[in-house]
Amino acid sequence: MPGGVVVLLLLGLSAAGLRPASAQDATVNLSFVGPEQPSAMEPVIAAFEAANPTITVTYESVPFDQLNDILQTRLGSGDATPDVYTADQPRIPALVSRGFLLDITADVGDVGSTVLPSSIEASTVEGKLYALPVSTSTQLLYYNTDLLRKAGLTPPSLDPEQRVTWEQIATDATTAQDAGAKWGVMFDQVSRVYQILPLPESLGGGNGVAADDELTPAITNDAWIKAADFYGQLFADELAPRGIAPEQTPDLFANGEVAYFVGGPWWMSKFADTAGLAFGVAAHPYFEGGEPVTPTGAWSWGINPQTEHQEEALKFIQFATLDEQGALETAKGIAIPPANNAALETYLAQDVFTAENVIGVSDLIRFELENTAVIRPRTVGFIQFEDIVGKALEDIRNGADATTTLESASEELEAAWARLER
Amino acid sequence: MRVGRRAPLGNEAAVAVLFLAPALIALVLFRIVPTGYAVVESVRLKGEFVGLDNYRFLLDSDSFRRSLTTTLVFGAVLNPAQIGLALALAVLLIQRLPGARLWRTLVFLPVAVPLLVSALVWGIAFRPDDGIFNAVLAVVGVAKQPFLTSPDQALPSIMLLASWAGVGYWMIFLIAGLQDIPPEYAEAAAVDGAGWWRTFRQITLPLLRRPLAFVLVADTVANFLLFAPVQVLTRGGPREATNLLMFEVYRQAYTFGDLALASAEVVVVVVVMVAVVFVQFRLLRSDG
Amino acid sequence: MSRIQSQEPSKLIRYAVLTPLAMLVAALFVLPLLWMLASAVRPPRDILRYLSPLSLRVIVPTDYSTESFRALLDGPFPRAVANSLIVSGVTVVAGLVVCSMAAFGLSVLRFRLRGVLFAVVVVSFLVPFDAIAIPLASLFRTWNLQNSYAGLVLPGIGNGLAIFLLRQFFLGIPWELREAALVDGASWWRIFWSIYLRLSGPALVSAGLILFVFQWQAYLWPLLIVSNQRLDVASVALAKYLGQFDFDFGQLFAGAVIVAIIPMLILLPLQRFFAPSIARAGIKD
Repeated sequence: MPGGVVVLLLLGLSAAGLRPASAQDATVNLSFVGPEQPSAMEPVIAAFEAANPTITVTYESVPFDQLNDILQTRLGSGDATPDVYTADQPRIPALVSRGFLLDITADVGDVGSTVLPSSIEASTVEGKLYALPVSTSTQLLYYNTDLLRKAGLTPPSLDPEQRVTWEQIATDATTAQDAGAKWGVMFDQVSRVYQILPLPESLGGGNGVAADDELTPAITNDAWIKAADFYGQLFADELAPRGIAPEQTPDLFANGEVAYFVGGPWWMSKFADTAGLAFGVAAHPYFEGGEPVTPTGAWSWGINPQTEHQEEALKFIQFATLDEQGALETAKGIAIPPANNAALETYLAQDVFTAENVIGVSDLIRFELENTAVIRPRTVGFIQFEDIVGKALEDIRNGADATTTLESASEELEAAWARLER
Repeated sequence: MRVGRRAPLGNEAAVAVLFLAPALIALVLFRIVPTGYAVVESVRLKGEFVGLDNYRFLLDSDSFRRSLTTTLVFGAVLNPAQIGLALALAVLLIQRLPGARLWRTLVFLPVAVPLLVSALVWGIAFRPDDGIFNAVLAVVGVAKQPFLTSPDQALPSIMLLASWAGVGYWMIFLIAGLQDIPPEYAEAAAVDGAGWWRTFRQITLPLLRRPLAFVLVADTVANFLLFAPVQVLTRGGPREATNLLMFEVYRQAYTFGDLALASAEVVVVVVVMVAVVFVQFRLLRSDG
Repeated sequence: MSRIQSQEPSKLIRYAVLTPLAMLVAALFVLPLLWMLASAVRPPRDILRYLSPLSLRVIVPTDYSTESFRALLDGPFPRAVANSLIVSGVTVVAGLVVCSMAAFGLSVLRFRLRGVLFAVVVVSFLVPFDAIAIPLASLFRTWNLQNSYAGLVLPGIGNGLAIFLLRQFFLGIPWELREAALVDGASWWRIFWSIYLRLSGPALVSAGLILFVFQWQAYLWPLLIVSNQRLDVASVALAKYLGQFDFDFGQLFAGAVIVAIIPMLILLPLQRFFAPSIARAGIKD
């Protein structure tokens, strides 16, 4: 029967070795999952394999938007693979609580001097280390030199001691717009928790999670409402555009349409390469009378507790993060700042950070990472937090009232977190 | 129609088993069994049996109830609109026109574009300040519209996108259905002096009953299960205006990893769809 | 190719009214794709630059660049397209056989459980595939079907919608043909193959389309079942152009244009199968 023939055909296809060639018997093969393009992981993998001839690493990339979802599914089914995977730092408490990360405290020892303290904090849960930090992040205030000049505005300062306030930015953005700028101000990752959390934090409103119980929301205090109102007002006043997704915002600045752009240092080379764009950088704003706060945190690489190659997996992540050479190779493929101190120095010494129009930014980045960086809330319910608060921020951006939106978001968050506690 | 003649060859049931076996095995293994898992998951939480607790949580949840209403409204508006449009297009493009085959294929083309990319492109077109739709409206003097950033316009905008991306697909089936109608009927009507519209209503449409029924059911299901544009563009907002059921399911199952709740939602989705499709079957009954 | 010939609009109306209308409609549908094509042949920096105000520059680039296409064809994309073609092709061939057999069993044969089995078929396509994908993926992993073409193809073969469509069509084929064949002593397989299938040109093309589109559009399933980049299908490969800090719209749109055109090239010639078969003329219940 044709049906039977077809089934045989398919089984034949699958058996016919249309799978990746398996490693030879003497070597151990590690499977490694992450969002970067394979070409970005080639340097560190090649260097590691050269130093460890009996271990090969197979890297598998997943589209960034689906990464966390896919990891959840694969790890949730108890698979032995992937052996190593990239863990978004704020999600580490949740991953640990679901048994998806191996406790590596004993195996790794003290890493305090090799990598940034904030990145260790982000990879630790209840005093135990569960992943090794690979990268970190910070935020800068880019400005369009031409647009500011046309408006007669003095560019904000690169000196963190003299950083500009949000209130001043709002005023200057209006001036710039009146003088012809299409948009006064814009955020890189608009309406995302990562980008906007520093606003309420700067006003002393906390990071949105109650200090004493990690599963109680705290997003309805006065500081949060004031910060949310400020945020929404920027869009209501048409200083910043609605309806544009985070993937499209850097192009707004690159096309010369935005006077002030809050974004990460990884856009520096894109802006530097844009012909005709004159720009400078300054320190991330803060609220008058409040604390300067910058977002931080990025990725750590962790080990699947179900792995069958624990020793080799440990070797790999230690090489990529703690070993100076290894960390440099890892940094080659990633656009964001490395967490390894030595690799960070190399990163900051790049030409793009020492160009004339941005001279001094390396010191600024170092300062922010050491002094004003605040990691995202540590809670096992971070995924729900990011999703629900993110939606609230977007609604506020689109004109919803800050108080009612935050209050209903708080209720929704409580209900979602209640399910975690059962 | 089913006139019983002499006894058919062998036992029809036995033969039927042979014909149906491959498909039934595939359907049972790849659809029914995982659905069974989902049903089982829906009455558990963290591995323990909890009865109807998950369902109770859903029914108490304002946002789930709203999601259900939104999805039903979405379907109720979109299904007749899309099928009407598909039918109109089919009737237009079935005529003997120069290049008809090309026009038909071009109308179908959006169906072949990955929905992720279509959503992205339409998102750019919907941009309130510099998107093409507002640019066109500006030319005719209409104020710029918020589209996806407004709770009132977001769902209709998604409907527009969904129609562009799907109507060509249904049109093809209706064209096949139209092609299938023997000319004798229309010729007879012409002899009787009937005009085009009359012939269409009284002869063509009834003969199109089966393809129309198929397209209606399939489109209903497709619209019920739509969520990719929501995921890319609005994530359920603004203010839950576009929180379609399958997006909720995706959120719970994949993003939050709450398989129990997602499974309960899936069961509800399937039950509602079975009810809707059942009603449609009855309304369009021809036979069997 | 209309069969309603005596009701056919006059040549004048067809050429002067209907053709321009058809062209306009087709143009409206294809406009977003033209924009994608324009974006794909522009220097990447121009893609989001000329959105507004309304001018010809939105669709017609001022500067051209092959950068996006070159990068696209140099990377994993061509392989991904090949994978999509293989998976879709095998699904269509195997699926048509399996589904038409089932449709035959559910329409031409008479037996007691027919209604129940038909209900099973209908329910199977009412279940949202993306929702059962997670348990199905675990199942496939226990059967060691991850990272294989079989794993990608199998869920697409039993398609309840295709069975439904083919059954509808078979029900419309005159019963007399079956009876006559039985009188002549034909076997069931013969009846299926030589009579029903032969008369089913349009339905087979339509069912094939359903099977093809299911696989061509598949995104979540391949993500779950395949982790080896060499087996990525086109839709997954395209999604990878939107990274965390690196959004390559040029390659994304260039790839999307290619992904859209391929089914178009397949569908254009297949439309001639929409002509009804001659044997059907004159016999209609």
